[in-house]
Amino acid sequence: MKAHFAIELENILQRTRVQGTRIAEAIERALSSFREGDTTRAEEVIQADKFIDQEEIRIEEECLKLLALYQPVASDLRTLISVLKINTTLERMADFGCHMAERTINTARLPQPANDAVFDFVPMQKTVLSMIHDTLTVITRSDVDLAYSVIERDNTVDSMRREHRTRVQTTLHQYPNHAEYCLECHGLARDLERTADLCTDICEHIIYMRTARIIRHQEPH
Amino acid sequence: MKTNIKISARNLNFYYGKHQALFENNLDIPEKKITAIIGPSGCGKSTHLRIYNRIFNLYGDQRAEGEVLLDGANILSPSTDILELRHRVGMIFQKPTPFPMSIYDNVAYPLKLHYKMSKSETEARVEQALRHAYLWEEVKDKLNSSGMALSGGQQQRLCIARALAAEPEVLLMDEPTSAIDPIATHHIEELTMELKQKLTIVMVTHNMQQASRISDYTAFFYKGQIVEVGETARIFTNPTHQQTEDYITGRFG
Repeated sequence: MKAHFAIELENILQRTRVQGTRIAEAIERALSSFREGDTTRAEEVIQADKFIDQEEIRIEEECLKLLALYQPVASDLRTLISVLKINTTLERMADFGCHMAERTINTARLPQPANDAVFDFVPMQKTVLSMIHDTLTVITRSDVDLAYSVIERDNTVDSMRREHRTRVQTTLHQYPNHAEYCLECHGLARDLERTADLCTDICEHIIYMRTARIIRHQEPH
Repeated sequence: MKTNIKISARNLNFYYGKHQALFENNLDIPEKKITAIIGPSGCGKSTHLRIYNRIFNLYGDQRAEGEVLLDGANILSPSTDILELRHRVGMIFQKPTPFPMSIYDNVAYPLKLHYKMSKSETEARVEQALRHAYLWEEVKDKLNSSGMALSGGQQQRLCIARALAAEPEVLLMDEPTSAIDPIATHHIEELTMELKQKLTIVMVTHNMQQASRISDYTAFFYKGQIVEVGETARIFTNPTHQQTEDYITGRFG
């Protein structure tokens, strides 16, 4: 009986890992579409999100089925509850990927801003993408140390977003005719920052899964 | 709020003849709480429970060493009044054990044994005990029928009524629902939750869900030793010992 549970739980974990990889790719593609102004790629990202949504529901149904049929306890319970939460969080990350893709489409029809008005997202993107990839590793290996390192990096992203905000304010004053572009860039920085937040959420779930400690809303480690 | 300790087992060892079944058991049973004792078959759960009212004394070659303090007094001391001890510490067994007599007489039996009371007082106490065990409505019109004629779940509630009639301070339950159906089990569990407002309950169970549903504290026994004791919510979400984890998640052996 319990061997069946272990097999089914591993299946769910595997599906969650695959879903994570799918979402990381979607976000990377959304970001590159924005960088290169590639609206076709952006459309593809938005289209692919429908499958991600469906898969989220299927994983949730599997989790609920295991909860009802096996009534797991201890580490089994923590794993299943964590996967349930991670599944929802991953789907929300995918939604931010869609927002980013929509910004590609929105900015494509705007007049090109002057060179000094173009925002440089590369450092922020690099940090957030590294957080996403490490979060996938955290899910795969249940690596608590790496989870803490991802959580710490969230502060860097927060300060990057604050810098972007200042930059947006300055540019808005300087180029009021590019206000719409500035607002999209402001939104993209926000999407990135929220994606990083969701990475920390997932890492917190994994820490709970492994250690039974709920660390959110507490002083940093 | 500090919980009082009703029973305290101290360095408790138990022997069936030359075979040692319990090893240095130390366990505090909090007052007016439900403590579940879990563990694989043969680990000493029932053996440990049966020391609390010295029912093992019915068998000549069994002996306990160490101390079991009931409100601070060692019940293993030779001077303990066994009848008085079993008055204070009632017991429910795996299989319902109604006496071969009427429903009324089953419940009146301990009253006759422990108290001197008038017929009307006895009647009132029998009704009270049957109501307390949520059996009154089902049997009030057939109190003179044999207790053996009731269903399994009703028989078990009759045994609980009989135990309650003596107004014990502690109720020991040795797998009380393992021989009855889920609805009767539900009745007994609800009843147990009610009873803890008045008395201390120690329950041996093989049913993990039952332990997690109704108990406040859980003790995990393995090979005659107590591996882990703690609040049930903690044991079932984050056990400290690998053996406990393996047992409650069903990965044992």
